[in-house]
Formats: sequence, C-alpha cells, structure tokens
Amino acid sequence: MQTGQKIQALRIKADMTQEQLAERLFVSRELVSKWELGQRRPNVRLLKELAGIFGVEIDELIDAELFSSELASCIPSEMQIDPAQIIKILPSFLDTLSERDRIVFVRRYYFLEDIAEIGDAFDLKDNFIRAVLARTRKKLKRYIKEEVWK
Amino acid sequence: MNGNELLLAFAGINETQIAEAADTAAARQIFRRYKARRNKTIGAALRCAAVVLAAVGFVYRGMPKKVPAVLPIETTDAGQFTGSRLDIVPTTTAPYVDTTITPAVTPAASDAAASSTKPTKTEASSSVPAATEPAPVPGSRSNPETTGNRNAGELTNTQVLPTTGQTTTDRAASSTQTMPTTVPPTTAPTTTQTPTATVPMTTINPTSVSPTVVLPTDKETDAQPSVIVPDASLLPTDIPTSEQPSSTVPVAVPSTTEAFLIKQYVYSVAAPEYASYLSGKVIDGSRVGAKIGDTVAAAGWRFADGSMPVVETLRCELFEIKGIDRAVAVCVRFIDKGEALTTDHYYALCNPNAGLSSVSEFLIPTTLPNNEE
Repeated sequence: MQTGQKIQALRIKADMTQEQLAERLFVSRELVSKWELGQRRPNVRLLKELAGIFGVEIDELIDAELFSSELASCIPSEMQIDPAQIIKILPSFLDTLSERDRIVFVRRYYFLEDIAEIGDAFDLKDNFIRAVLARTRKKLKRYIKEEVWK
Repeated sequence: MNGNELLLAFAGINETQIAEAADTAAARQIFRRYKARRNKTIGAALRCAAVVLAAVGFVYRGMPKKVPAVLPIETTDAGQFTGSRLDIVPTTTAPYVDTTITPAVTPAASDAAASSTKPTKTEASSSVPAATEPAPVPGSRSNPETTGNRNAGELTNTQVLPTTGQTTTDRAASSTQTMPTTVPPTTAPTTTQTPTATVPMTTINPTSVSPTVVLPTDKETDAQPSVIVPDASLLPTDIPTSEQPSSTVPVAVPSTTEAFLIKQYVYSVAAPEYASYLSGKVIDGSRVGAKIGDTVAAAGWRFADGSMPVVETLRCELFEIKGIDRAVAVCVRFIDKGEALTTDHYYALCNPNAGLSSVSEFLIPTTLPNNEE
C-alpha cells in the first residue's frame, strides 16, 4: 500500500475530511488530496505530525525501511547515542557540507524523495547522487563520533 | 539508536536548510555551476594531455630517419630534362579554361612565333637573353624563367618545350607535353568554350594580337537566376497553434484543424445505477430534489487521445433533479474537492441512453474545430 493510500485509510478511519486534516497540519486541502493521490509525499516533519494525529508509528505511514537502513550505517555501532543529541548535531553537520551535498542530503532524508526524483529535479545522474549520499553518510558518521566524544 | 530515530531527527533541521533544498530553481543553478566547473577541469586536463601527446609526437618526428638524398629525375637519352622535377615552372594545379574571351591571333603572328625555337631547360638560365625571346605559339605557354614574362601565357595542358620532339607526361594534369622538332606553323587559333581538361588556351600577345573580346550578352546573364526560390517541400506545413499540455501524456494533434479540445475534466460515480451516466454542467440549487444516497466518484482529466492518467476518488452525494426522472438524469454534490470540482455546486449526471431533450441545458457540448463546421 502506498503512503497516500495509507494516509487516506487512516484519515477515513479517524472520520476526518481532507479539509479537517489539512487544518490540523496547517497545509492546504489540495496538498492532502495530492498526498492521497500519490502525487506528492509528506516530508519527515509532517509525517511525524501525521503519525501523532493518527496515533501510529511512522513506519505505518511510509516505507521507512529503505531510508532507515541507509541512515543506520551513519550510527557508530560502538557508541550509545541519545536521539536528542543527534537532533542537535544534525543541523550543525549540515552546515559543514557543501551546498550541493547538503541539498541532495536534505532532499533525500527530509523530503524523502527517491534518487530518481532528485536526479530529474536537478538533471543529475543516479550514480552521482548515490555517490554523494554515500560520501555524506560517511561524513555524518565521522561527525557524530567527533561530536559525541567531545 | 536506530535508523528510524536518525530519520526522525531530520524533522529538527533548520528552516534555512529546508528552504535551500526546496528551492529547486536555485538549486539547479548551483548544480549547473558545479557541472561547469567540473567540465572546465576536465577540459583543462584533456588539453594538458593533448599538449603532452603533441610534444611526444613532435619529439618522435624530430628523430633522425632514413630519407633518400636526391629525388629521382627522369631524363631522356639525350640527357634533357623531361619535366619530372619539382622545380618545374610553377603553375596552377587545375587547368584554367576561360570560356568568355576569344582572342584572335593573326596568322602572321603565329608564323613569327612558329619560326622561333625554344631553348632547352638546361640551357635556359645561361643561353637565352631577353632579346631573343620567341613569340609565343598559340596554344603554348611560355616559360617565365626563360622569357622573363610571367604574364605572357595562360596555363594550358599543351606545352611547347624544347625542340626534341619527345613527349613527356605533365605531373599536374596528366596530359601530354609535346616537344616538336620544329615549331609547326599554326593557322588561326580556335578556342573552344567547352570546359574540359584538354581544351587548349590561346595566349594573348599584346604586341602582335588584337584580341576580340566576346562579352556575355544580357541574355546569357539573365539566364542565371538572381533569386533562389526556396523549395516548397522545405516550408513547414504543420505549424502547431494549439497550447500543448504540460504533462507528458501524448496529445494527438490533428494537423488540419485550428482548434481542438486538449483535455476535459470528467467524473463518474460508482453507484451501479448511475455508473454509466455522463458528467454535465452545474445546475442551480433550486432544481435539486431529494437525496438519493452517498457514493464515491472517480474524476480526472481526460485528454484528446482518451487517456486519463490521474484519477481522483471523491466522496459525493446523489440527488434527484426536480421534474426529471432518475432514469434520465440526476445531480451530484461532491464532499471531497476535486481539481476542477467544488464542494458547493451541484453537477448534472445524465444517462446517455435516455432521451436527453429535457436535460439539454445540462449537457456539455463537444468542441468542434472551426474549419470542420
């Protein structure tokens, strides 16, 4: 089941109209309609809020496994890291990146876009985007280690 | 901590960072600059490589190799030069044929030319003073080295060379060079106007010839068109005038019409009794009758080729139309807003199998192109 269909199913289950859901999220009704039609995808922030509204985990809304498995390689296995610490570290890490790498990273893990979508948006090849993401994940891992050990 | 928690941590990034990534146009500029820089670097690297390769090739070419000291020279039995050397009188490589000027050479001048002899090539530099320059023979070319008169002759494939009567092969034109033992007397020369390699050119001797120049007539110049008429087949015949949809759905554009329907927003309800009913216009609220029930509708843009790439599912309510039988038409009000539908209006749904004269005001007519009416 696609994300849009899941959102629609959960909304109908919660007996809400698209307008009501849009009001709760401070977005337009058209955007909710586009989510449900699969034309657009909610970003991580809105997904978090949707999960809160419907009382579900984010895994029930999106197929987060792909993104999670990619990001799992950024977490140093030998360390215990507090999620709150990561929330503080992440914006400063993104500031250390070049514009190009930051845009690709945010598009991938905040807007949850596919690699093909990012490539189409910026006229880039998929292999290039994969290389940028892999390189940036390695940098994130190093950064987390340095910051947590401080 | 796991990947999910790290993913959720992205919800806390700065608005600036979000806005930067969301601004696709600005981000494209950044990537274009990056690509230009990268191509510049690659170009510079390739240029360096080319310079290095050129240098290697230059060094290689400069290395000593075996070269024959002297070019072979063809000579006759008498030891005379026959024209194979590279330092032969410089000529143009292609035979020049003038098709417009026909000078007339009098027999007297030609006899005077015929009575003289031309020295051999080997003797040219030492034995031929300017005063003994022979008058050029019609159809011949004088050797500037021996006569000192570079303009005295035009190139011809027939060359009169030293009086040995032997024939050699011209390097440039691959025609024969005749060397008569005596310079033959010539009659009035004729210069043909056919542009072939073997047509001899008559020479003009300013001292003895009164050339008759034949100028092209007006007719001849008018024969050449001054304006090039473009081939009609190259002119565009199908100039699209209609607005093209921005989607990637192909649109069958008829080539002979001026206007045509690109897309139309249509909907149909799921209720079996009314599923075949066709979408119609908005009707006034005062015409709306009793509610029939709730259902869902499938709505979307239908393109000229009949395709409907995106279909919305919308909740709706069905109502009767006052004075109209349900079997003819009903109306629908949408609960969920569609791309081209509101939640405040009532839209007609008409049965295409019924007589629709009573609901003709609700029907949306098909758009016809102007030139087909």
